[in-house]
Amino acid sequence: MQGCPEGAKASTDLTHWPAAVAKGVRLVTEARVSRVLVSRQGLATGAEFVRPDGTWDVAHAGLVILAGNAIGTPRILLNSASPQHPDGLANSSGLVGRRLMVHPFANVMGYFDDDMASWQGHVGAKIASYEFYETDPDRDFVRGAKWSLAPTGGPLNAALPTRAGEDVWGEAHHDHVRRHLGRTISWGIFGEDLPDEANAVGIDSALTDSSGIPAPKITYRVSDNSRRLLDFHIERAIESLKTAGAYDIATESLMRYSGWHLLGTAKMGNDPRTSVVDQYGRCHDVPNLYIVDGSVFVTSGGVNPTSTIAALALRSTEHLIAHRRQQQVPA
Amino acid sequence: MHVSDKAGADTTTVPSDCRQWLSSIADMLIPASATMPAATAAGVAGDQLDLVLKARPDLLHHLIRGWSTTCGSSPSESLDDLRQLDPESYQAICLIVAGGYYTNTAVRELLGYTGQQPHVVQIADDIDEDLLMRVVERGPRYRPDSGE
Repeated sequence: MQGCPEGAKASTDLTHWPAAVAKGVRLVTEARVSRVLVSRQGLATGAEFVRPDGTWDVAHAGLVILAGNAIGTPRILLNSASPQHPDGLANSSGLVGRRLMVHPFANVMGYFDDDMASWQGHVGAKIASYEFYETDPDRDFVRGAKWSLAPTGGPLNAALPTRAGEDVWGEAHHDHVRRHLGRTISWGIFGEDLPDEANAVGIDSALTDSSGIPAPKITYRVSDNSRRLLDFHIERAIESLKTAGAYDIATESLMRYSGWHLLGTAKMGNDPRTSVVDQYGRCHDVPNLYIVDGSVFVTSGGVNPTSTIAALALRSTEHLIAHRRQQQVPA
Repeated sequence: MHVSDKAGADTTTVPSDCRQWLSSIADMLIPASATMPAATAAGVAGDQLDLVLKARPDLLHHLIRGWSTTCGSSPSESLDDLRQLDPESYQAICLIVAGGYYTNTAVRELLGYTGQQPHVVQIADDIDEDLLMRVVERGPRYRPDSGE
């Protein structure tokens, strides 16, 4: 995520990096990693990267940790293919890039007569509900969703075209803004996505980025389960808002241009035949290569994944440190 | 005409004819109502334009392009043409107009919008404790894992 130009956000450029750099970490920003390098013995030896000025270089390391998340990490692993690893690095299971999960997302907004000043506060969950989070065998889908109640922004947000494509200018503009500003609240519905190996991150056969690094190619189809799940939750959210007094409702299902969370493409597990990393994020195939991002998720859950990613990263790191004397590194 | 979209771009490079054109466009987008001023009255083509372009210098070339390609048409024809033929310019101009209008302090006062202000909530007075007690009394609900 981005930091804040005024330094007002607790992003890692303030919370972590200054302390790490003070202790000797070398931070190279704006570099693009193209591949992880591997020795003849099958151990990671570092990473190749390119700087913004186009110069290429190699960072040598005794241990490599990937945190590129569910598109960036498999992209690097697949681009690290070689005669030794023809299907990409750490991919004896065939699962690198597979089981891509997102959180199919819907938005249900209620319009109220009361001026609730619902522009107060940042966009995010003011109230969270897990009422319909678990599987109910009486429904025609499995799993469920988290609901987040969010404010709906200030006058500029009310004035500009909505994601649903509502674009109101001219004589109707002021009424449109008044109707929206402070008088709307919004349920964001995060549906749990089921893993499907057909949903995948691969490498495009022709497209590259501006540095010439092969681009990722994403194949993803919203499942019937997700569609039924979202339909059910939208109906319940509409009921909720109407019961609360909303006189009108606007819904948007499978909302575009919103940051669906990216998970699952380097599955965690005990069996190297059916997983990419072990419970501590260590690649089964490359014992000094670790993954500490959302790629390792086995299921997506129906909640924002950052806290879990951070918890898993911390757990993996603590284990790494505790067992550092047994850690294999290149000679 | 050279226009820079780098940070700190000199907004005096917006020609007066362009500002005049923007005035007519802006008043079509946000006209006056019984309670709200028209966009031009809120300074959307004047000081507010400078404010918007200082924050978003990348919008300048879209504005200039939209003006250059449609200034010979009526305001409604200009908007229709931009909407259909140059949606990037259209969206940039909408953002310039709305951004300038809704950052005008007089407009915000008319809307009763103060921007983000500190707001202290007294939990004991503002939260229905019964809602929480139901969850507490229910006790933890854990699903057994599959034991993998």
